[in-house]
Amino acid sequence: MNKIKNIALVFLGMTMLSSCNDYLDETPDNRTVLDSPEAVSELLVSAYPEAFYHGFTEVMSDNAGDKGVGQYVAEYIPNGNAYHWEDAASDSYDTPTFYWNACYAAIAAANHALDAIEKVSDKENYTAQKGEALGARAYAHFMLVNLFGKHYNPATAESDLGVPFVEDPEKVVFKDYKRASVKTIYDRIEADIEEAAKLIRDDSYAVGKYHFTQGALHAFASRFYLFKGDWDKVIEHSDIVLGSDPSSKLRDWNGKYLTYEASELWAQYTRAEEASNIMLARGYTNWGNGAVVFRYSLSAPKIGELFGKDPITDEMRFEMVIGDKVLYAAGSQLLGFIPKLKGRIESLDNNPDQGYPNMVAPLFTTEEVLFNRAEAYAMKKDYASVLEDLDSYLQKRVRSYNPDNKVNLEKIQKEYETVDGPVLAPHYAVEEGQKFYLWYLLDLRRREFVHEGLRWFDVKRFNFEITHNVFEGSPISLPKDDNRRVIQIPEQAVAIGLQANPR
Amino acid sequence: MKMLAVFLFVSVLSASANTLAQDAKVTLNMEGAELEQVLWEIHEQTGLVFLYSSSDVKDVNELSVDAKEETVKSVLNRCLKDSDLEYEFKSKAVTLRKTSKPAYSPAKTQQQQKKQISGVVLDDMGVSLPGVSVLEKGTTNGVSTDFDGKFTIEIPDNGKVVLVFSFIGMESQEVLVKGQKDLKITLLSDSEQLAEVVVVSDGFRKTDRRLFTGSATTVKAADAKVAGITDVGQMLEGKAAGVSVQTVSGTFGAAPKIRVRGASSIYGDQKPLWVVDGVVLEDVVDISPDDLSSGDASTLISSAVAGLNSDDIENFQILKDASATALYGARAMNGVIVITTKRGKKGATSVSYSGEYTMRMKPSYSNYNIMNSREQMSVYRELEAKGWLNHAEISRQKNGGIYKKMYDLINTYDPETGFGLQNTPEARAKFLQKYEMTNTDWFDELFTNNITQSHSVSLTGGNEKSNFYFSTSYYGDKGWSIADKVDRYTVNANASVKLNDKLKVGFITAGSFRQQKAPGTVSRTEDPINGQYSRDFDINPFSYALNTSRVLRPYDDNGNMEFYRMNYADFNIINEMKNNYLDIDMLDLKLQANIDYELLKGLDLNFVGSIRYVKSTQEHKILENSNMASAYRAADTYEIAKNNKFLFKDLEVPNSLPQVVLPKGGFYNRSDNSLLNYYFRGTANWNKIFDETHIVNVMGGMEVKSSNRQNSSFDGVGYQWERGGVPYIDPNFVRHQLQNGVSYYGMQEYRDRFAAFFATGSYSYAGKYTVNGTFRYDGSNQLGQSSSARWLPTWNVSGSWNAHDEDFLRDSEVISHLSFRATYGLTASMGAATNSTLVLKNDVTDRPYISEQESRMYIDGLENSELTWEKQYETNVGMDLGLFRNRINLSMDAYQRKGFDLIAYIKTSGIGGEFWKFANYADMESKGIEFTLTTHNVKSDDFKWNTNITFAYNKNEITKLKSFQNIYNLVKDVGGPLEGYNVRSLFSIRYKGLNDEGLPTFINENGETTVSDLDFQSNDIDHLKYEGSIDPKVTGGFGNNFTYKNWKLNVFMTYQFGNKVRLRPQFKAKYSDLDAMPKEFYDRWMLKGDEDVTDIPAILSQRQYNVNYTKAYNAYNLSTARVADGSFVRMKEISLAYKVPKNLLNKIGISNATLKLQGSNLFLLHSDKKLNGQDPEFMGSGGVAMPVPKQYTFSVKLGF
Repeated sequence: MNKIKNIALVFLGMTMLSSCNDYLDETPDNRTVLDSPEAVSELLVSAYPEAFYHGFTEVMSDNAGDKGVGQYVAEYIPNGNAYHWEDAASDSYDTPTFYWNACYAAIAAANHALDAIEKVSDKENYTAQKGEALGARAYAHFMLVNLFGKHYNPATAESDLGVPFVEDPEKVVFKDYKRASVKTIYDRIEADIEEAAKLIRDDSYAVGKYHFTQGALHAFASRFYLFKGDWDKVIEHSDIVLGSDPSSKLRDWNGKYLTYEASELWAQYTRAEEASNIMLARGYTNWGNGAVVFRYSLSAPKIGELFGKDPITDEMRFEMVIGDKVLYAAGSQLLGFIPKLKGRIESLDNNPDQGYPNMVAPLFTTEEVLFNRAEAYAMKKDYASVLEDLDSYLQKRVRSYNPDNKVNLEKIQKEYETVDGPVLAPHYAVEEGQKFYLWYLLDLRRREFVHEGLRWFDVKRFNFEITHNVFEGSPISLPKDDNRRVIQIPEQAVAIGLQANPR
Repeated sequence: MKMLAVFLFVSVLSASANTLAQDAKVTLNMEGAELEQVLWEIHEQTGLVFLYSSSDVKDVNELSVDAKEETVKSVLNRCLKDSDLEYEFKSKAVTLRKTSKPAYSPAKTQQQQKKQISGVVLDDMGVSLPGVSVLEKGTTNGVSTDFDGKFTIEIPDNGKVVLVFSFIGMESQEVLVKGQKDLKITLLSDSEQLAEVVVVSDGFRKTDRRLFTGSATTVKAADAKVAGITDVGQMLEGKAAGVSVQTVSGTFGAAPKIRVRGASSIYGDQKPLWVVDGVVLEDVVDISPDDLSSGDASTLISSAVAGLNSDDIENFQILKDASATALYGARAMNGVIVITTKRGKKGATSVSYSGEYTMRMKPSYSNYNIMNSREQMSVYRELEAKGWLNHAEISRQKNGGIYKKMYDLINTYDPETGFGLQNTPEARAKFLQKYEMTNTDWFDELFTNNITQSHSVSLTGGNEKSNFYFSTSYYGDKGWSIADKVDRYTVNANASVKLNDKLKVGFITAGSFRQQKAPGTVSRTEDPINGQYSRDFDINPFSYALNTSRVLRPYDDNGNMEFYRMNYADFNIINEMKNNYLDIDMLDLKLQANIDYELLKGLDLNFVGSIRYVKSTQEHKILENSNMASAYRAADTYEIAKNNKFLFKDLEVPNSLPQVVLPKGGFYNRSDNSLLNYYFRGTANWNKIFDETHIVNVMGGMEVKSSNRQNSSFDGVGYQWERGGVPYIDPNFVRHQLQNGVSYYGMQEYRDRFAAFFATGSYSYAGKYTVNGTFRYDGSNQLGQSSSARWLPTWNVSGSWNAHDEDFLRDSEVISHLSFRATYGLTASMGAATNSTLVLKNDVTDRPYISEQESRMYIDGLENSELTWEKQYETNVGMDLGLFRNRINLSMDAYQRKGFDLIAYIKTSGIGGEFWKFANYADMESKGIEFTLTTHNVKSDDFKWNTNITFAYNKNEITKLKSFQNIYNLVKDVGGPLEGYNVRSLFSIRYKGLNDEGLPTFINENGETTVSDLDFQSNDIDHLKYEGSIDPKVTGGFGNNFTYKNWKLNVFMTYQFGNKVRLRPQFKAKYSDLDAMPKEFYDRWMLKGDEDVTDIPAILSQRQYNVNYTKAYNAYNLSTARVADGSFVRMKEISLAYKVPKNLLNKIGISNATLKLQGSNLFLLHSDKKLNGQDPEFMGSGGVAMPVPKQYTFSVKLGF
């Protein structure tokens, strides 16, 4: 009798415990679950870095100058750190750490999407999502390795420190990570791009311009192979993006854009409808307004250098229409900028001047793909094609451009008559004949993407020296092969045992 | 400590009841029995009731009784013959007491004439008291009262006899007997014997104090009660050692910051658990410690106990250590405060009324060093001279005071009367002069002397089988400021019925309803980059008075409201308060049932079930004429339209001018909170005493809880208050919101599920040595759907030694009580993290064009498979000491707590995708001592003086915290956690004096002296100065009670030491003509060289100003120059009470009446001079937060 009673009691206890477990299964709040292709697609909206490199790469490049002090010139320590090529002491907006975190957050979202896809039985319904996840994950790793590692060099890539390549969701508080080599990262990215290209479907997106469409993926591939130095692949992928009439997909600076007032230009520059914008992203940054007010940004002398007249010939150098759109905030010469990227505030409660600063910016544009292809042609010594691409471009940029006044080698060389271009030292050899094309392309890119942070990657991959002026001081320079070209990894990453970059 | 045990059993009528009590016959056969057992047997057989003190009888043992149908009298004679006890029969009661053996007994030798006098003794509730000792003073002649509290005593008939009535737990009373025949004596409960409460209730059950091994403090509501203070939590300030109460806002409904033994968690909840009548009181909204002082509207519903009528409370038990809180297991880390409400008592039905009338004093400029209008004007003149407040600029600015007004007048031209004001220096000077003399007293304009009233009526009654208590109360406050108002009604009814010998059921219904009005407020936002908080449209009357220039005036020369400019629109504070306010409703209803069933003798089953529903609505009403609504319509000029942030900039039409999207009406913004809480608990409790010495108690049970919380918000746009409430919605308003990524409505749900199993056992050897052990197993859904993380076992062991029961101390003249306690155990608490599995949430992307927005899912928290509860090992040793017949009582505790697995907000490498993680990565150690000392300094017939001191010292240190803090988190006013420091450590930027331009300079992370080369976000913190903790190390209270006849004077002070506070941020890089400045500005830097003598930075000229100096001035506000000591001694309460003599009252049918006059929160006896009138407890964050006023209360208590 007693035995039965005991068994009954134990049984009762067990059922109570298990019913308690059911009772405690209730979710504590309104969290969602990954249970359909739509849900995975929604998660992949988060698979893009919500931050920008612009705020430090542009400042580290030779597009920035020291404005000194003025009533509206703002000091922002990360801005100063970047200009002086110092390791940033904080992780606030526009620091390398902030961008690092955003990239890995995007990677985590992609990995969770891939993980969810791996677990479903109807994988065939998730192919487009898988493609996007692979593309997004590759992109974030690509940006990381190019900022925090040395530029790809086939001779040393196997031993050069890259960044951790993350492909599994993190499940513990502190997981051990190791920096993979630059080569490993490049190999993984290449594999992911190639697979993603087979899977991505443009019709799976509600707002395609914020996702890896086929076009965006090929634009990414074009940049990837350019950095890797695989010229045929650059041309192959660029061709897909550019189609037969590249100039129709470029920003119409020479037409429509000429008529725009600042606010219209701002609006058009980051609209999804703008054909030139292949992929857009929104991220947290102070750069929208910082590009105007920060002490270390496009200073007056830099505006002169990029868009001004040649001091000797008194001719407009490069004659870029873009330069006509320089705007001065508060009427101050110190606050010149081109209204491309507008600072926004993500307000918490309808109060538009408190909240998280952010902006929308294009991550891939037709212009870049065109430049990539032209550069690849130059490296393949197909100069006719280079000039053809330049022609497509310049007709949208130069006011006086007409079919009788096309660009040619002679004209390009004339630009470097008085002052040479920089000493180029990429991982591959540059012949004398290629030099002028590359210089010219670099100079066009520098102007085209002013404020957009891409100049730094050119400085890095061509490994040329740059200098920064110092207000009331002597200039500082960043020589070729300087260790500071490789941004230091975050101190928290060093703290968990990742190898720091040499300094 | 004497214990009186009374057998008060309802005896079934038996045959013996008809016979004379002492002739009742019993049959006994006992060997080696204790007297108590014998008495029990006699009681069982005869129904006789024995009244005795247990300490008197416990020495009478080893009795052998063999009686057959013998009278009780003869049995007792035999049993007591070797003892020093004597007995006396009174009707059906038998009183046993020690024989006094006086050497000389005049009463016996002198044959005096005697007379009989009889009477009845009642307690203050009118219930008869049996067993009260009635002694003729100076003799051994004495009797005890019988079952009905009646007594008859023979006394000498010589005219002057004093009778002494005494009863444990009651104040003794002496009565001069002259001609009276029938006496009616009311004994009052002895509030001095605070430490002698005989039972401790931990909310689960009541435990004999002797067997209680934990650290707990009992505070009787009557002692804690501060008239005029409505929040029950605030009452505990200084009353119990180790409980610190910081009233961060005095506004009704705002929770004070209560800590039991300091902080136990870093980011998690640190609030103690409130338990009312055995059921945990859940918060309606969960407000983090920092947000309590934010002044946001949600703080008004943050106090869990705001719906309790303090008159309903019987007592508080504050459970402090692991043993005391063991039965709350994994929720008890922050201590538990158990509230027991009043119960009906047996006896005549009685009615009592208490009324309070409180007048709060208006704050006065004399307490704050704010410049008067003339001084203020001279600063404006300097601003003007420095290029500010110029004609061109001020007309473009969004805010403006009298200068703006002046230039507006100059700009107006009327063809008939000419310019509103001639633009000549003379005319301007004359205009300004008018304001220079204004000297507006904003406190006087915005505050009132309105009297709050509180009325509470209770009915109680009961008999042998049932009892009831019913009360209802009203609290009404017409508002201390012109912007607030509170009405609260409560009802509380409880009844219990003994259905039979085994079954008892009880029901409690408690409810409250509140309507409150507060100044309209929006949530404050924090700008960590520049290091400041801000709040749009802040109209908090206290902040307004403190921050608004006294040059401004509310009414113009004709008595009409005078408007200034705020947010490009007209603003007048009085108009704004009428047109922009919060209405808060709160309804709180609880139903509770208790069932007690005695399954077997000694084995009780108890069940408690309760359901509670709370609904609260906050309506922010913004009428069309308010500045807040007008600001949305301000587009008078191109300049304004371009800069007014409340206008809609249509991004689809890039070049368009911002448009007004609120053409008509105002706003009706609503936020609803609700809580539905179910609670059930079943316990089995087994008590057994073996051989009279081995006391065993075992209890086991389970508990289930569920709470559903819902919060919804809705922003009603274009509500036309003056057009019958018809909304007028401009579709662009919605676009405006969507463009900003804001939704006009939203809802959040929180579900809390909790289950626990527990068992506890204790063994005591004769109440002398007691050991106790508890085990509990808790489960919660808060950690997510992982069954590994959700369950947690907690345990503790404890013991106590009642040393005064040892032979060597029993007869001590000095030590009347001495016991020691020790505890070791594990407690826990739910951390702030819920991600034991991946947490995904949805939102809508924030992108400029609505057509480009899409639904998004994001990772709110990565899976943390290691997630667990926050835990703590606690060691506590305690001692209770009573000296000189408990004239001096000391209760002391020392403890050490080792917190581990605490949730920390830690930085990771970011590689996993989450840079900041909430994880169990911190450890913390704290230790402290606390004591309560009660002394009865004077104890004469007419005059009594008692002193009560509570003292607590607590120190904590974070021993592990994997976090990289940035500067801002450490220097802001609430401090921040850092390894090796206190949980709330305040750091400062090192101020290095003014430079030769009058700008403040600081040391930055590179050791350089700089003005603005600072980054508040920097992780370099080594150069900061550690100021101290913002939590006080020492807290306590000091009270003195003087009683003279019917008068009672109470003087009570509270104190705290060892903390730092940040001074109000008063310095800015640029000022407007609305700003009020503190008198510190007298000493500001004016000329080169001043930097040697002053630390008050210059007012910048417009030429000097640049955007980076904003940071410099904010850094100054956050520097070593702007820190004060937070220590204070506050005269919390002085009260004088008068008990109206009975003979006056009897005629008008009132049985007792007390009148009391009280001043509370009177003044600070000590505080840092640097505070300049700033209250060290009050943060002054605007919104709905208000300081605690100085107030005077008149209260009446009547009993019928």
